[in-house]
Amino acid sequence: MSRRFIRLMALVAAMALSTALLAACGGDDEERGGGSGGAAAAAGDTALKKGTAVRLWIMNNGPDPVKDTERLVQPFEQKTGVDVKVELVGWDVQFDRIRNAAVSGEGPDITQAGTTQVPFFAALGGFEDLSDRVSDLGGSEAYPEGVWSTTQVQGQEGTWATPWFTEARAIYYRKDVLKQAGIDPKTAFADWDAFRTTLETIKQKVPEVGGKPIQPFGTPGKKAFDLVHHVMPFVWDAGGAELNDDASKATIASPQAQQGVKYFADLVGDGLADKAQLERDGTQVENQFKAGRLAVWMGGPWVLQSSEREDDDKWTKAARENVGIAPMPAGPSGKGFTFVGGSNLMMLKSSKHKNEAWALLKYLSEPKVQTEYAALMGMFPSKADAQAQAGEGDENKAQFLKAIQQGRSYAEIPQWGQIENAYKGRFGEILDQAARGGIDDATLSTELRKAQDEADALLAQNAG
Amino acid sequence: MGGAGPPSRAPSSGPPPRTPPIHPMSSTPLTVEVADERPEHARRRRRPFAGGLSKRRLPFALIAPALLFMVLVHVVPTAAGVALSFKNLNTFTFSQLFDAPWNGFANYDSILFDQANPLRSGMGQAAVNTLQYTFLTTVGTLGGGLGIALLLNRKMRGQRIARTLMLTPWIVPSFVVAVIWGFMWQSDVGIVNKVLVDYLGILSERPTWLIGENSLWAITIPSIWRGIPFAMLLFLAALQSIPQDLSEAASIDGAGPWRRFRHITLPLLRPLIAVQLLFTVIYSAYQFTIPYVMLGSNPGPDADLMMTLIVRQSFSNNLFGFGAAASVLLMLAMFVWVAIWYATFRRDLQESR
Amino acid sequence: MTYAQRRRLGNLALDALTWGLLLVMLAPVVWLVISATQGTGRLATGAYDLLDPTFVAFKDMWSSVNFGKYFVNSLIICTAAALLATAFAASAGYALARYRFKGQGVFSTALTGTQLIPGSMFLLPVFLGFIWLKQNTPVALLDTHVGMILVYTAFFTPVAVFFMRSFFLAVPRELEDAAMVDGCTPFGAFWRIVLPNAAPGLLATFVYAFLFAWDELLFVASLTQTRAETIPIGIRNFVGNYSEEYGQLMAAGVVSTLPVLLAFFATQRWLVKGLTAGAVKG
Repeated sequence: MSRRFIRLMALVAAMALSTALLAACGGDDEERGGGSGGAAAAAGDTALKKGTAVRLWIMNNGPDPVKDTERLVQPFEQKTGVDVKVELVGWDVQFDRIRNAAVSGEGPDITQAGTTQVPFFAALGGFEDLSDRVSDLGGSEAYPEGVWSTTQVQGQEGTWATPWFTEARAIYYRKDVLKQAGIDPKTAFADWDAFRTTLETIKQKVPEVGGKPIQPFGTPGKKAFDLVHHVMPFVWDAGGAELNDDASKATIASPQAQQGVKYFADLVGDGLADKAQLERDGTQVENQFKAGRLAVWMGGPWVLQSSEREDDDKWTKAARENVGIAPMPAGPSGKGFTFVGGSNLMMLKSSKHKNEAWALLKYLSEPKVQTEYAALMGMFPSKADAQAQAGEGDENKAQFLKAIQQGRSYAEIPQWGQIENAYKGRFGEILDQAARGGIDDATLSTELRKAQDEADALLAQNAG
Repeated sequence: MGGAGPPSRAPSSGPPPRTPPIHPMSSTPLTVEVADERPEHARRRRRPFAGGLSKRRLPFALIAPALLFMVLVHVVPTAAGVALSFKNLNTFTFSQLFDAPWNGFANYDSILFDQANPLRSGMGQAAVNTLQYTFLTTVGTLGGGLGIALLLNRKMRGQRIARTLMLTPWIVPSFVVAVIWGFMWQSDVGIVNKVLVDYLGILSERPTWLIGENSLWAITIPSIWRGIPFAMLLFLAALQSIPQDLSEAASIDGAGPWRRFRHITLPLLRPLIAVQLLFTVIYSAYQFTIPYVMLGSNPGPDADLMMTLIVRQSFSNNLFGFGAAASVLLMLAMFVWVAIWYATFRRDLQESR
Repeated sequence: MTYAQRRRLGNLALDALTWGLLLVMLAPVVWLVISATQGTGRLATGAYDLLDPTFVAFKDMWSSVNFGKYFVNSLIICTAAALLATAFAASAGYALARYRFKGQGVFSTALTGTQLIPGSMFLLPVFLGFIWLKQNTPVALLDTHVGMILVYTAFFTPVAVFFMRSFFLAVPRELEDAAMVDGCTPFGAFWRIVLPNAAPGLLATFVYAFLFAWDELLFVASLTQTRAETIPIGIRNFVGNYSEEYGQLMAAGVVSTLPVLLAFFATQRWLVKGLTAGAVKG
């Protein structure tokens, strides 16, 4: 602890600083060195340059996201000699990361992006318009219409992404619980009334399974990234919509929208939905279903897939063996909508290896590769043929395919992400209030009016 | 920051000595070679790299690195931030960075005066929450810290190990604090309700902590829990520096423990309390990590703080100009607090010198 | 009951209260460690089995989200920033403790003033500045270790300066006077006489800055992409949109507390002395 200690510390400090500075310069050289890739792209469809590093950003889509993707692209690397660098970007920060990459150029060659985020990222101007290239993939005809539309921006030319995987929400139920309650699964979730009656019956007749308490239904609260995906289908069922047709005005306070939100909020207010679940995010509620604490729940296809994986220790035996899937209940409009989402792939303008990047995109869009990845993650491939195939052979999977085909997504406008945040905040507040003993029509209407005003203000933003 | 030393305008130990070294010429190599009577350690390195600096220049060289970093990371960006608060920096202008168009006082106008502006909705609530959170956290942290310090200042078996272990919560990173407490608060399976309802039977119904009005407590209690050890550490050190004979003399005079604490200990602790108060309030008012990690980017109207709101509006909703204006206002509010604080404790600070 | 008996009983009660409070203070940490050994399934239901711990999460967490990357980044960035902040603070703190110079008051006030700026105030310009530098110059700060080190160094320097100033005030002036009488230059006296005597203070300042840097989330969330992200970002990757691994999250919580805990307990003798000397003498 004396002089020697001090000198050592000073030395280490000096070393840290100088290596840091060197690293800064070095990093830059490395990036500049790769300029030849850009030239190759300009020359057209020339051969891929071996040894080129292509950075691919993925999100934590499954329990082992990095390794799964690395394994997936291995055949591509072997065939082309292109080195794919798979980098994980957490869902938590991916919005910031991709936006920053688009604006700064500091980022990957290709990134995954949520389907509803594409218009915002496209508006930033940092992404390649892929219109001239998508014919390589079979163009728009190769994809279901609803999937393809997520690569576009409403009212504008250009194709800003290629579809990667697709998911939709459906009803999960416990077969054993329904049986015990004497409910026929075929009609249990046919429409809003049947759905409610089913939950009421479960609440009365099946308070517990195997000595452990079970709640009829559960939905996540404001912490869930996908709260709006849970609520909006009921708005659609009632004939409402998130925005008007040309996406110039918000319509979330319309009588129809109000009816839909009220139906959902009343499930919480009347004690049919467990209010403790509102404290959780989507995946936590999912684990409550897996753990056998919920009889009914709305979720995506990845949960179904995880029930087949022995190493997923979150499933209790009873829950794992009794998973049933039903389509979303039909509302006053006669239709039972669901949210269909998933992820797309986008190519950055700043990419210096666009040729290689496009080759990778093409590879990831091959039906076989899409199917493989989708199966790994428990999603559906985005290509029409592959999607149809993935829904075959299993009753539960077929239900999800049906859901995807009947699904709906939001308006493809740059401000949607912000509007969704605004709606999410209000929906969360409505459900929280419902949990405190019900929500009356006037309060509900006020909250939705606020959501609508907020959305309108966001729509009115401009570059001025 | 938890508790820094107080700001000071001048060093307390008077001016540096003016006496020059014995050999005024000793810094010129020539004379040194002729006759160097200095002891060995001084002779070994005649001119260290800054050794040639005159006493007048040395202090400036010494503060240069700190000053440079302060200017680069604090001063210039803050000035730029104030400038950005007068700009229309949103989804559509973000890629123009600093060249985004000016829009005058529009951001301030919408925050302060435009009641109907839906984009500012929730800001009033967030301001109130921040006040409550800051007040509760500060009182809890200082009160708890002082209480435990008094307890640990007594003679007790295992005193040393208790003092050390008591510091543990301060070491646990905030993001871990938020994760573990968020887990413990769950109303159905969380350990807090298990203890309160199932084991102790203090409450008959399970409260929900993470949503509704309790959610402010859900972020306040962990903040206090993490803040107490550091406050305790400082109080304990101050208590130990209070001369025992003072207290003993009072005890002989017949003063009970409370009166001794009230009239001897507390006045002596006042300067330390003042400093802790200043920094705990600032630190709490700028709290972000705990609500963000525990409750998500939108903690809801009951637990939304100014910082979570500003960060959400800026980075999730791309309302950067709006966020910059709100930051400026938050900073001004903090200036007001410092002014109040200074007016209240000015005398204590002078006495402590 | 005699007075002595009453007193002994009172003391016993206060002892019990002290230990009880210690237990309450430690309980969440204990709960974290226990939770890390229960696996995600049991965490979901709250049905813990203390007799059947599993440690698989401590193994899986490194491969599933590449936690090692974040861990190493945190170590590099926090160590470098804390070292630099300590070094800068030592020299500036010495100037404040021993010299009177023009602008001293302004400098001192400005240092305190930095603590009044909300992070969101200068985060945005720093963030835009990093992007601007990336676009227009060869200076790479966005998503680099250097960028984060620079920012964190600036963050923790002001508080560190006041710490170091108090330590230097505690070093007897006679030491330097004697050295200068012996022919040391003023800087020589600082470098060879004062610094070694303030070693516990240097250590305390370093650990303090390290603790705070380790904890920082707001800036690293915006100023990095995939290369310089630290633990506060990485740890949240255990919860995704389609999956969550709470067992691994808890394990990562334990693992990311360990380095700071070790650093603290290894140095706590000097640290406690240093921190309290710094703050109390003020």
